[in-house]
Amino acid sequence: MKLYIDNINFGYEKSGFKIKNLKCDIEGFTLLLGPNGSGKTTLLKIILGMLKPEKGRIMYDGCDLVKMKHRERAKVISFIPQFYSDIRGFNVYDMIMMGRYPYRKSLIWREKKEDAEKVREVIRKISLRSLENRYFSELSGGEKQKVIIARALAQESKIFLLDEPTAHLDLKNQIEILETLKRIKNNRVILGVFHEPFISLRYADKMILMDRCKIVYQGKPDLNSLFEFYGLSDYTGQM
Amino acid sequence: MRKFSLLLVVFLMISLFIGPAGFSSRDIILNIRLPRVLMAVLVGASLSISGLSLQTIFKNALLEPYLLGISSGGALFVFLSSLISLYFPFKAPIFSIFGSLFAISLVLGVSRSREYNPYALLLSGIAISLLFSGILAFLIYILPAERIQIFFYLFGSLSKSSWETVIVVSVIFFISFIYFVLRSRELDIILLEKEEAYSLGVIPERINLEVIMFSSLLASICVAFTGIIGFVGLMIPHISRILKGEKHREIVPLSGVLGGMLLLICDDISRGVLDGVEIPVGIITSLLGVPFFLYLLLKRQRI
Repeated sequence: MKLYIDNINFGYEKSGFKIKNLKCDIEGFTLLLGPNGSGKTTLLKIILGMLKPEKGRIMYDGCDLVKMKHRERAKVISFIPQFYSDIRGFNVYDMIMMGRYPYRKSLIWREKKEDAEKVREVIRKISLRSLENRYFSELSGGEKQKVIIARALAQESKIFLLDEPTAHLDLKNQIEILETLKRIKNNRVILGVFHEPFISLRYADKMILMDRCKIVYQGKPDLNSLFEFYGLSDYTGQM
Repeated sequence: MRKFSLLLVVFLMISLFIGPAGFSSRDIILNIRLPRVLMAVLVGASLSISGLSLQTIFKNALLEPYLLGISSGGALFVFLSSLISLYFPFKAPIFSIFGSLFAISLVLGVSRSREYNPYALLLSGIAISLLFSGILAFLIYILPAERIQIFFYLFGSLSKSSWETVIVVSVIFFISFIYFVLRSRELDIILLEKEEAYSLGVIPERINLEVIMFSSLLASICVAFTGIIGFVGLMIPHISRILKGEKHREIVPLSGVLGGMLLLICDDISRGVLDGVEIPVGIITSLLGVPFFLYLLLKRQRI
C-alpha cells in the first residue's frame, strides 16, 4: 500500500516558509532526508494531522487523511519521536497500552480483554518480556525507543512516522532499532527522518530528498545522489 | 491510598475537638466544627486537584490556581458581588467563576503574546494575581465598613463555613472529581510529546480548554466561600507524584486525599496555635508553600 501526498500547499505566514504543490508517494520504508529547515518535520506534522494543509490531499487506502477525524486517523498513523517525555510511574506495559487508546468504545477509556491480549502479543513480538514490569523512565534510550515502536504496533496503525528516532543512540542500538523496523515492516508504510543516512539507507526501500520545501529527489536509496545533492561528489569514492 | 484515606478520617475526628471552646457541646461540634472540617477537606482536595491538572496541561510543576491569578480574580469578583445589593441565589460562586475565568483568560492572553517561554505563564500569572489582589485591597480600604473583610479575602479563612456552603462546594467538587477521573487517560497522554498525543488521537488543545474550565471552577468555588488559600495546589501534586508517579487515575484521588489532610491540619493550627485568636489559614499555607515554591524553582522541575 502506498501513501500519496497529492499537491499539498502549506505555509507559515510570518517566516515566509512555504510548501507549494508538494507531490510524492511513499511506500515501504522511505527515508526523508534534507538539510535543516527544508520542511521534513513540517511534512510529518501535516501527514499526522497536526498542521492542516491549505489545499491538497493525502491519500491512503482510498481515504483522504486530511479529512479524517483525529480518532480515526489515530488508528491509521502512529508517530515515533526523537525525544520522549520521561513520565514517571508508568511501566512498559502501561506505555504500550496507551496505543490502544484510539480503540476505546465509548467516550471514556477502559482497558478491555482484547486490548490486554494485543499488548501481550506485541510484547512477545518485540521481545520486551524482560522489561515488561520495569518503569519506562528507568530504561535506556534504545529500550525506550523499542517500547515506543511496540506502542505503535499495539495501535495497529499502517503508517509509521519517525522523526530522527535513532538520533541519540549508539551504533548498536541504531542497528537494533532499524532491524526491529525491518522485522515489523510487512505491508506498512514507514516514513522516517534520519539525520544519519549511512546505515539507514541500507534498510530503506526508497529515499526522498527535500530542500527548501521542495522535493528534489525521489527514488531508490542512493548514496551518490545524496552526495551530489550536498555538493560532495568528490568524496563519493572515499566512502 | 487506603492508608491515607484512613489517616484523613482520623485527622477529621481529631479536628472536631479542636477550637477555642475546647472539648465542646454536641451543638457546637455538629453545627460549627463538622461543617468547618468538612469544608477544609473539600477545599484542600479541590485546590490540589485543580493545581495538579493545571500543572499537567501546562507541563509546569510551578503552577497552581493562586499563582495563575485564578484565585485572585475570583476573590475580586466575589467582593464586587458583595457590594451589589441585588440578591439572587449563588451570587458569590457565580461571580467567583466569572472572575476566575476572566483572570485566567488574561494570563493566557498576556503569556501567549510573546514567544513561548516556560516561565512566561508563571510570571504573567503572578503579575495578574498581584494586580487583582491589589485592586481588591484598594477597594476594601476605601470602603471602611469592609475593612474587617480584608483578611478573609486575601489570606483565606474557613471560619464562614456552614452546612449550606459545604453542600455547594461538595456538589461542584464531585462533578469535577468525576470529570478528572474519567479524563485521567487523556491527561496521561497529554504528558507525552505533542506529536505523540496527536498520533494517539488526543488533541491537547481541546482537553486543555476543558481542564482550564474545570480547574477554574474548582478553585473559584473555594474562593467564593473561603477567600484566597494559596500553595496547597502547588505542594500536594508534587508530593503525590513523588509517592505514586504520574498516572492520573491514581494521583487525582491521592491529591484529593492529601490536599484535604493538609488543609485540615493547617486549619487546626490556625485555630489552635494562638489562644482565642484565629490566624487566617491562608497565612499558614503560604508559610509552608513559599519555601516549597523556592525549592521547586531552584530544582527547575518540568513536572
